[in-house]
Amino acid sequence: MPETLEFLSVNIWSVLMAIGNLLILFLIVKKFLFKPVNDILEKRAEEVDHIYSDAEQMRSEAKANKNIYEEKLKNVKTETDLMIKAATERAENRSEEIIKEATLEAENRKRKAEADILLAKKKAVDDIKDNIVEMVIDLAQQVVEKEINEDVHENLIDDAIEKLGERV
Amino acid sequence: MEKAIIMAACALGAGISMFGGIGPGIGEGYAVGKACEAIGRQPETKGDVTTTMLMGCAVAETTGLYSLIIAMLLIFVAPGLFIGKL
Amino acid sequence: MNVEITGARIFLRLPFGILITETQVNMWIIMLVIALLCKWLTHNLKIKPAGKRQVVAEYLVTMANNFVVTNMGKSFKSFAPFIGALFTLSLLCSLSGLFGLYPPTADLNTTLGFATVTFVLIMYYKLKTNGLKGYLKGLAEPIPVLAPFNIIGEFSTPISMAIRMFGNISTGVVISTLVYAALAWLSSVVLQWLPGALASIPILQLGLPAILSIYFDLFSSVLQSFIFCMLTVLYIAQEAKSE
Repeated sequence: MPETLEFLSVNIWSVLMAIGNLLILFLIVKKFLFKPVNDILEKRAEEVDHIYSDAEQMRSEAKANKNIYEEKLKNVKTETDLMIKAATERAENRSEEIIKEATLEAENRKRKAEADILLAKKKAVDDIKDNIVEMVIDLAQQVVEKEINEDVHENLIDDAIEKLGERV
Repeated sequence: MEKAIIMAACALGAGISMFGGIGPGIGEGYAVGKACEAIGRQPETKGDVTTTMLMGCAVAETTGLYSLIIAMLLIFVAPGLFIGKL
Repeated sequence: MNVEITGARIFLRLPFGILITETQVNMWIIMLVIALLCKWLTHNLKIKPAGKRQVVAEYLVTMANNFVVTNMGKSFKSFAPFIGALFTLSLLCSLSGLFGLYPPTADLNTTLGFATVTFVLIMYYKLKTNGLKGYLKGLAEPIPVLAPFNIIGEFSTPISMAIRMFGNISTGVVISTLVYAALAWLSSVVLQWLPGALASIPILQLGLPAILSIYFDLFSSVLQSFIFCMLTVLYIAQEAKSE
């Protein structure tokens, strides 16, 4: 029969040994399990942070690039706008010029035509006047026979014809 | 003869001291019943309720364990003490 | 039929009353197992998790960290290894009954040792937050006559913790010893008609003790270890936070 402790006994050395065992195990667990694993977890967190910051940086870079491109795009737009504006202006100027020229020419032509018409009218009136003078003189000759002296009465007749011509 | 009386008294005392086990029994039963009610009302809190209930049960058990220790002392330690004095 | 319920076997008696018992030896075995387990779990760790070994190690560490942080707050994260060590040691000590070893936690000395550490920590944080004067003043609350009871109350915390663990585990040991003895006696009575050596084989010891062992060894061990750690954490957190 081996020697045994009482079932319920307190031995101060055993209590101290239990405390010591617990503390030693605490150190073991701390050194061999918690420290390496915590280190690894921290490293992983750092790496993840690193990845995130990298991503953030890349994103900001992309954003900056985007801004630059947008600016450029805007510039291009304004340039094209300017070009278009200039072109339209030129075109408008040109069209106005063309229209002006056209109107000028048309007016010239109209004036010329009017002058022609006047000329033709005058000519016609003169022709008719001459015809009428001759006709009147003939008539008058026939009516008055030789009583009327052509030289004397020509002024009188001309006046009459003039009045007639004005009425025509 | 005296030895026998001491042994008998110790055993009886141990048995009587274990009446202290009634209290924690009732108390823990009540606690578990209430925990079941709580889980029935809010099944999503099952984990928290169970943990708290186990904690409460462990603390409520203390008095029962004290009586258990008294019983153990009476059985394992007291006879030796008294008989040694005789 | 003679049933003997005894404590741990004494292997060696050293001077000054130092005893090397089964408790100590089993505890050293368990500590060695834990140390080897830690070493095996953490060798060759990688930042990118490789293999189940590292996942298990990380899971254990994160669980301990989370347990401490949720119950005590972030400033107590350095307590995680201590709580982890306390939990694994008490759990494996209790579970060692399953392997036929004498469970070291069924020895009052061991649990008293654990509880003493907790008690020292509690007292340290109590004195740190209240100061010595405030602490002594607190003992004389509500009236100075009650001071002795308050002092008893101070000491009842670790003692009840020690006794809780010891009581639960040793009850398992006592009851399973008694059941084994009873079943041995029963089978010797029932099977005495069998010829020769067959009668001395306690066949009835096969079934029932296993069921009891599930409760007393597995369930009770895990629960008591957990409760011991939980109480330690809660007491320390309570003392550190109370102004």
